[in-house]
Amino acid sequence: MKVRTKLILGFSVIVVLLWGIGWFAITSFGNLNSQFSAVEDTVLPGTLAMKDVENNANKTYDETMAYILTDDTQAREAAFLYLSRLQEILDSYFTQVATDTEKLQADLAMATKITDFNFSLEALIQQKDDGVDPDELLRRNQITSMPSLLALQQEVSTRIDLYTEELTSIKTDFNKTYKRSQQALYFSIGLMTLLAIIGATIITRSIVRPLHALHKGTEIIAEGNLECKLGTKAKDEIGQLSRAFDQMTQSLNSSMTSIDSLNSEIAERKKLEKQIQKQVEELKLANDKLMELDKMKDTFLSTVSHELRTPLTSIKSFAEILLTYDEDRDTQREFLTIINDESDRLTKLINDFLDLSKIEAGRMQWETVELSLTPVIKQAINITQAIAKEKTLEVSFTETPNLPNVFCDKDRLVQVVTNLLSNAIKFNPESGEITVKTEVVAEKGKQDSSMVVASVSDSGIGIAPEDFGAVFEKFKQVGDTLTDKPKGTGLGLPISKEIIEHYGGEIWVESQLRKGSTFFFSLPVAKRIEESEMPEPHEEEEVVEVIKNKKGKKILVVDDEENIRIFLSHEFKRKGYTVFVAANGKEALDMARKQHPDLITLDVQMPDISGFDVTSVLKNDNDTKDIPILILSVIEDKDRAYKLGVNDYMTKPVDNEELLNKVNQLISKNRKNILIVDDDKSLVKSVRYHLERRGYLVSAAYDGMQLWK
Amino acid sequence: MIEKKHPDLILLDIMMPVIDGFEVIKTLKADPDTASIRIVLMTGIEIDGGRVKALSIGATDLINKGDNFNKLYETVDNILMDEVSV
Repeated sequence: MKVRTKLILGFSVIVVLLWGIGWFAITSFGNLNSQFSAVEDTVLPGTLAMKDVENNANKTYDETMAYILTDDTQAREAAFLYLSRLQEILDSYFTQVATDTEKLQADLAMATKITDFNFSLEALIQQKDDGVDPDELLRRNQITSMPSLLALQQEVSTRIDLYTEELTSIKTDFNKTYKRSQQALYFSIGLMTLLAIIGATIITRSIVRPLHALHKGTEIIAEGNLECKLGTKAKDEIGQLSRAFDQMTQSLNSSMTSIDSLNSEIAERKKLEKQIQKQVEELKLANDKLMELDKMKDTFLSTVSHELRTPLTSIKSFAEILLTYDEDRDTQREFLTIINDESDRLTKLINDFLDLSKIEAGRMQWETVELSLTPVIKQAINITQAIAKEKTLEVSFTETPNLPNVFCDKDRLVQVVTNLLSNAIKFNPESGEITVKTEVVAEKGKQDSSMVVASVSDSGIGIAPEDFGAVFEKFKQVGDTLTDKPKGTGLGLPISKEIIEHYGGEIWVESQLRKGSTFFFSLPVAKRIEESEMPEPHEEEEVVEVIKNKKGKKILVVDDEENIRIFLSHEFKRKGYTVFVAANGKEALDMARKQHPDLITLDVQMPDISGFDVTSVLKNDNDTKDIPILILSVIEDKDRAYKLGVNDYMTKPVDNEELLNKVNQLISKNRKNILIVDDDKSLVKSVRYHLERRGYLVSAAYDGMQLWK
Repeated sequence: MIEKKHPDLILLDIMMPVIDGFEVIKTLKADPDTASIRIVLMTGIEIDGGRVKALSIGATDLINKGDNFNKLYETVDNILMDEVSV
């Protein structure tokens, strides 16, 4: 129901009630009025008429009496006047037709009494006129007029009593009606008030309640809760308003939800943007890195080609000189030496370069073993001894007792130490000092992760602090490149860095300009292997076997150092060999030719004739060229030795067991037949030469088909 | 030639005209007379997994010509000495 309808209904109810009360009041007043009219119409005129009748009758009687007694004519006229008045009253009174029978009879009785009275008095007056004696008249009066007057008076009084009685009953009725009306009025007023209150309450409720709910709803929504729903079922304007409100809330809610999702979408997008930004930055970084790498590659390539071209130029120019001019033998030899050295440098450069590429590409094959740094350093010192001696440099090495082992590829580690040493030698002034040290550095609180640190110090030109990092970069020789400085590949330190880092170590340099540099490298200590776990060498068994096979074999030991001769003789004799000794090159050549031993062990550094020269002579003599030669030297110069035809090479200090094994192998070697198959004729020639020098029988084929011809 | 000389070891280049080293090694290993001959393959270029391939088809070793030739000689020595001690 609409609010307007409700209000109209409310007002209508009140109006109806008002009408009801009004009608009731009017009716009640009508009642009262009619009762009042009854009094006015009947009781009041009746009573007055009775009084009038009594009055006139009395006056008529009095005047008549006066006339009789005094004969006054005036009295007689007055008596007639009153009589006529009485007659008038009677006429007027009875013109009104009585409605009910009782009243009619009463009226008739009244009229009879009045008529009787009139007649008696008229008769009396007539008799007086006739002159009848007053006393007689009085007596007669006593008989006729008096009783009629009395009867009239009585009748009047009765009638008045009757009227009074009626009046009383009317009064009672009136009072009754009045009271009833009053009560009814009070009741209606009360009822109306009650109905008005109830109606007002109902209407107010039906209007206010939803309004209140609406108010609450707005408050809830104002607090931000959009889930609020009024759910009003009312059909009025407020209901519509509530529904509209609900709808609004719902759409607000859904828009909020969509805003939420939009927000999260925006957040997502922002995150994505950030990610993209990050990726872009990463890409940029990667791109920068690539550009840098590209630049580095260019630099690298130009450096490489430069580095390659330099020795090549020397080789080519000296080769050209040799081909063009007939130089004397010494000059030729000098030039050939240069060509050879430059070739070596070129080879080393290419090898270093390949090594580095392999390591960087992760294709290096590492032969990891557990080893001690001490023998490695000794070996490196031996290898570099030749170049150290050229500059009369001392290399001092302080051994650390019980140095823990590390895991590394032995050859690579030797390469690292050799690199550091040869650098130190190269950059040290003549008569300088080079110190090699080892120590164990324990990491704080971690006994297991201690490192073995080796250092190589020189007293050379030193390195500026800003170049500490650069020395480990490819093709970087720090300092002024134009000055005459020792030549190198510039790859030694980068390779060393890669090797050490591959084994979890670090390599670094500390230096002061013009005061010298110290290169350090560290390697993690290998887990100690208990003594008992070390494999027991099966020496005895092998010795028996060796004696069986090698009985009667002859070994010539050549060394200028007597102690070494004694030691080697002792060792070889113990294994069942026959031993000859020579203290110098000349003796060695004589002995070799005379005894034709099965093996010669040869020192390199000897007075007058060196070990290499001895080798050269023996390998060029058909009688002795098949005798295997094992070089035992502190100098590492395998290349030269193998070129001369040396069969094997060991650097001092020598591991006894290894030496005996080598000797065993060399002695038991028969002349083996080797076939080379290669289409590169110069290579075949070179390899064939070397193999023949090493005591093999060599044949060659230049393609596969030749094999079956 | 192969029958006449009966070599203890063959140094065999891989990249050759007419038939390459791999072909030669297959032929040699297929013939019972020559199957026992040790073969060291030589290559001028680095081949990925070349060593494994070489060993799998019956070669004793693979040598890179770019390496120091001393390595070649050492390899030859080792192979032929092995034979003695066996």
